[in-house]
Amino acid sequence: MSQDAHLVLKLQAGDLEALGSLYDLYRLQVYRAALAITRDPDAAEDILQETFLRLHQYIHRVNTSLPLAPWLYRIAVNLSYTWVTRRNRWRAPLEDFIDKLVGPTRYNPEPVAEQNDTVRQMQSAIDALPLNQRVVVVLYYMNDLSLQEIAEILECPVGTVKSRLHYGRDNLRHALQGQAQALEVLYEFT
Amino acid sequence: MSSRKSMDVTELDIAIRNSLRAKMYNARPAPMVREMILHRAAERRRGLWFPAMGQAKASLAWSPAVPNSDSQLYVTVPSLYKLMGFLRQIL
Repeated sequence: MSQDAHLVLKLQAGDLEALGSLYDLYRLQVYRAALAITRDPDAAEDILQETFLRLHQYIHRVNTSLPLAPWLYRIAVNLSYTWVTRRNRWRAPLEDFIDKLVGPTRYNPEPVAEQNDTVRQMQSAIDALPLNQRVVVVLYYMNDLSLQEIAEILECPVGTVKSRLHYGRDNLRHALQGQAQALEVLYEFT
Repeated sequence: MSSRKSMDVTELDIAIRNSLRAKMYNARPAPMVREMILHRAAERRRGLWFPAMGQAKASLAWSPAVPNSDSQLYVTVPSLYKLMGFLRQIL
């Protein structure tokens, strides 16, 4: 019997320490996935907490013959989707309004020059991906899940996951090329 | 820069993976989250409802500050939990 199954059975029998042990096993994976999707540490902590409370609430529905991680990811990803969608509903109109009041942010070459670093550029490009693509990129590259596992977590066909990953990669490649060209233009003028 | 321009799929894959891992390397939740989960799970087992951490923060934000007279309603987060638990039990 796997360690997951053993702990799930203990929790099903009412042992709350088993919930703590499962949390210790999976907290980083769940938290980092939620953080990469929401980009908000407070929201990621709330999502982490809610994910494990749902595990406790629905523990009798958990099938001990299956691995637990995809179940946890499904809850965390769904909660992250809900959080991002709700935030965008309120934040986007507010940001538009502020832009109209103060004008769009002016191009400032200094921060671009400071970010002369592939990792940072890639991170900001990932943050700028559409939510559907960002979720797939995070689960595939950071959590090392297969396309099949991601499809099961997102409850969509594998083809959809492949397509989102393909467009996500394309967007990242273009974003990096754009940033590289911007830097070259900047260096020509300095 | 030129290497980035001609980045192939494998290079791109490595760059994406490395940047995500670099960003998340030190990211970890606050230790209190574990305690909150176990506390709330115990409360739930006893039939008491306990709002999510975000909701608790929100309720703190709108709850009045220290009241300056006895006639004012003084709402605290623990008292809200008790009230919600009570309502949940009777409904």
